[in-house]
Amino acid sequence: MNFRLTPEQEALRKEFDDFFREEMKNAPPGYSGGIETMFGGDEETWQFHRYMAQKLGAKGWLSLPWPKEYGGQEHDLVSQFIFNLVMGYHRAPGIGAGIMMLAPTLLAAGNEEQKKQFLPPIARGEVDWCQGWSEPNAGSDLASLTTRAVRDGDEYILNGQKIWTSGAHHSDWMFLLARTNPELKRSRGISFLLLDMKTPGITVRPILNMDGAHSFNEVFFDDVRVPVKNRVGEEDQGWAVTRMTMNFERSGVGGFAGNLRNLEDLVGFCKETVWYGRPLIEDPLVRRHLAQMAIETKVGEAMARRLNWRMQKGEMVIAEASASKAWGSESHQRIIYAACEIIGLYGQVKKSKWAPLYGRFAKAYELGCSLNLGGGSSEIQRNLVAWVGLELPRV
Amino acid sequence: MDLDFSEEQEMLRSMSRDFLVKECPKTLVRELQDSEQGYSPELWRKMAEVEWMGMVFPEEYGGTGGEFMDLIVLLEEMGRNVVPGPFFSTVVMGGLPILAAGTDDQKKKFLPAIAKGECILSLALTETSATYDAAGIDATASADGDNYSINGKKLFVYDAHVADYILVVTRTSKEADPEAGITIFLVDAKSQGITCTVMPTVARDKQCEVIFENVKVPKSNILGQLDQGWSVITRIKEQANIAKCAEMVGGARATLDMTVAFAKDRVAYGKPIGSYQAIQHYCASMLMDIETAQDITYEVAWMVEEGLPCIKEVAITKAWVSDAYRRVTERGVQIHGAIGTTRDHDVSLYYQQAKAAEVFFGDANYHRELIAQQLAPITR
Repeated sequence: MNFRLTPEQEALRKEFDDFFREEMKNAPPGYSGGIETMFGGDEETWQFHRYMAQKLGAKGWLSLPWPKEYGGQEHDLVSQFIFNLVMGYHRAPGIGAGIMMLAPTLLAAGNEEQKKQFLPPIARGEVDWCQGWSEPNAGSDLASLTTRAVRDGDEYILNGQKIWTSGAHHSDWMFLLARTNPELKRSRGISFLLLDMKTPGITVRPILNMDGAHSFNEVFFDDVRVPVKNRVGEEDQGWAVTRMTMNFERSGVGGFAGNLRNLEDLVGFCKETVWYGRPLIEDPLVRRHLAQMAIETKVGEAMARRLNWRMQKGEMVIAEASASKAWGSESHQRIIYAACEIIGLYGQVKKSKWAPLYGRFAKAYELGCSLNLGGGSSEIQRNLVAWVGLELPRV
Repeated sequence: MDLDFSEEQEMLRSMSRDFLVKECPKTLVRELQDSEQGYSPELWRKMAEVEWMGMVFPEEYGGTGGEFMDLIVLLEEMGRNVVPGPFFSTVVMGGLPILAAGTDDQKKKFLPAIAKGECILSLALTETSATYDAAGIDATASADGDNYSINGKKLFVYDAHVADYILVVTRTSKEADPEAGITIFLVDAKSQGITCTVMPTVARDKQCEVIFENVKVPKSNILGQLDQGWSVITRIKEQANIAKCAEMVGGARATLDMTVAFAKDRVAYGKPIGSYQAIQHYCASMLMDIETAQDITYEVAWMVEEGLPCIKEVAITKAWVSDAYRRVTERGVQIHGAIGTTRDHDVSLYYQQAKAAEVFFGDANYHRELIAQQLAPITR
C-alpha cells in the first residue's frame, strides 16, 4: 500500500493550489462559497461561477480525465481527485452538473457524434447544464416518473413537469429522463434525453429556498420537440445510463476539503473571540467540537480517496458511492450544526457586520438540509447500501 | 499511489482467517476468557509455528522481516475472530519497542525468543491516575550501584500475570517537563518484590494490577536511554493505537457479517427482519461506520509504517474507529434482539471487545483533546 503522490502529482497539486489562491482574490465581497454555489447563489456568485468556469476551461482543468479528442487532458482519476480536493479547499465555483454528471455519462454511454458535439463546449466552460430528473411525484422513487416523450419521426414530443431543477434558470441545456414507453413498468421504458433550453414550450419557474435564495426551479414541458439524435443510449434503456450518472454524482469529494477550510476559519474565530472572560478556544466543549470536525474531515477524505481509487481501477461502486454520499452530506450537516453552536447567538446572523465568518454557517444551516436530499436522500442511499452492498432483500 | 494490499498480504489475510477459524473457535475463546491464564499455550505454540510472533522482526533476530502493514492485516483478522492471549502485549507493546530502542544484546535476547513463542512480554505504563500522559507516571526507579530499584503501582497492565518480562515505565528524575526523566526497564517478571493481580474487566482480557516493591533490575536492562524513555512510549502509542484500530475494524466486520446473516434468517411478521427498512438502515449505517474506519486505519497505518509525522492523524483514527466500533457492536446486539445480550451469543463478545479497545491507550475524548492541541495548543 502506498499513499504517496508522485512528484508529477505533487507538482500538479501545487499548480492547482497556486491558481485557486490567486483567482479566488476575484471573488465578490462576502463570497462564502461551498454549497452556496450549488444551492443559494445570488447574481454576483453566479457571475463569479461563470468567470471561474471559463478560467478553468482555458486551463483544461474541467476535463482532466477525458480523452484528448473530446477536449480532455487524459489524466487519471487520481489527478481529478487532487483537483477536487484543492478546489474544495478554496471553496471555488466553476463546476456544474455538466462536468460532474453529464460528461462522464456521455463518455461512457454517448455515441461518437454526441461526444464530439457536447463535450468540447463543456470542457471550455462555455455551457451550463441542469439535471431534469425529479418530478412532483417522483423524487426518491425516481423510476415512477411520468414526463412523456412521444416519438414523432426523428423527434420526440415532450410533455410533463420536472421539479427541484437546480440552476435551470441559468442553464443552456438540460439532461433529463422521460418515459418513452408507458407500457413498460417503472425503470424500463425510460429514455435519457438532452434538451436545448431555448427550445419553444419550456417554462421555468423559481422555487425559493427557505433563505430566499433562488436555485431550485420547476420546469414545465408543453409539446417540446427534442431531436431523436439527442437521446443517450437506446430508447427505453435510459435507466442503465442513469445509474452511471448517479454514481458520478454521489462520489463527489469537494465537500470534505471545504470542511477543512471551515475548520481553519473556526479555529481562527475561536482564538480571537473572548467570551465570559476567556478565549473560546479554551472551552473544553468547543475544543471537542473542533476536534470532531477535524476527525470527520480527515475520515471523509480517506473514504473519498478509497472510492476514487476503486473507480480508477474500474470497479463498480454503487453501494460505496451511496455510502459516501450519505456519509458526506450527514457529516457536513453535523459540522455546520457544531459550527453554529460554537458561534452561539451570532450563529444565526446572516451576511452583515454582525455576522462572524461572513454568516457562512448561518446560511449553511439553511442550505445544508438540501444536501441530504439532493442526489438521492440519505434514506435512499441507505437502501442501496443495504440492497447492493449487503444483499438484504429489496423492499 | 497504490491503495491495495500486496498479493502476499492478501494471502496472509486468507491464511490467518482460516487458521483462526480452525484453531480458535468461539468455544475456546470463551473458555480462555474464563480461565485464569487467559491464553492457550498450545495455540500460542501454533501461532509461533506459522511465524506470527516474528512477523515484523528482521531475519537476523529470528523474524521474517515483514512490514507494519503485514501486522495490520494479521491483527484485523485476530480482531475479527477474537483471540484471547498476550499476542498484542508481546509483539506490539513489547517487541516493537525493543526492536526500535533495544541494544543489539537486548534484541538478540528477546526478539528470537518472542519469534519462537518462548517469551511473553507485558508493558506496564498506566497507573492509578489512569492516564496515558507522562504526568501520570509516578512509579520510581532509583540507582543503587549497578542496579536500579523500582517502586510503584501499575494498573491496566495487560497479561502481566503470564509475562516473562515486563517493560516498566518509571520516573528516574523529576523535571519540570513531565515527559523528561522517564526510563523504561526490562524487568524479569519473576523478580522479588512483584505482586500481580488480575482485574475483572468487561472484555475478560487479563489486565492486571502490578505492584513493584524494591524490585532490583540491572542497569543493562534499561530500554533506550536513561531519562529519555518517553520518546519510545510516544512511538509505541502510535503503533499500538493503529494496531488496535485494525483489530477493531476486523471485529466490526465480524459483527456486521453475523448481524446481516441473522437479519436474513430471522423471520418476524412473515418476512425476514432484514427486509424491513428499519433494520436495513441500521445495517447500512454499520457498513458506513466500518468502511470509514477501515479507510482511515489503512491510510494512517501507512503513515506509521513510513515513519511520517502523524500525531494528529493517529488521534483522529483512534477516536473515529473506537466510536464507530461501539456504535456497530451496539447495533449488532440490538438487531439480534434478546439473544444478543447473552453470554452464549458471539455478538456480545464483540460488544465487550469494543469497550476494552475504546479505552485502550486513550478513549475518543482523550484523543479529541490531543487533536485540539494540534489545532490550537493551550496550556492547561
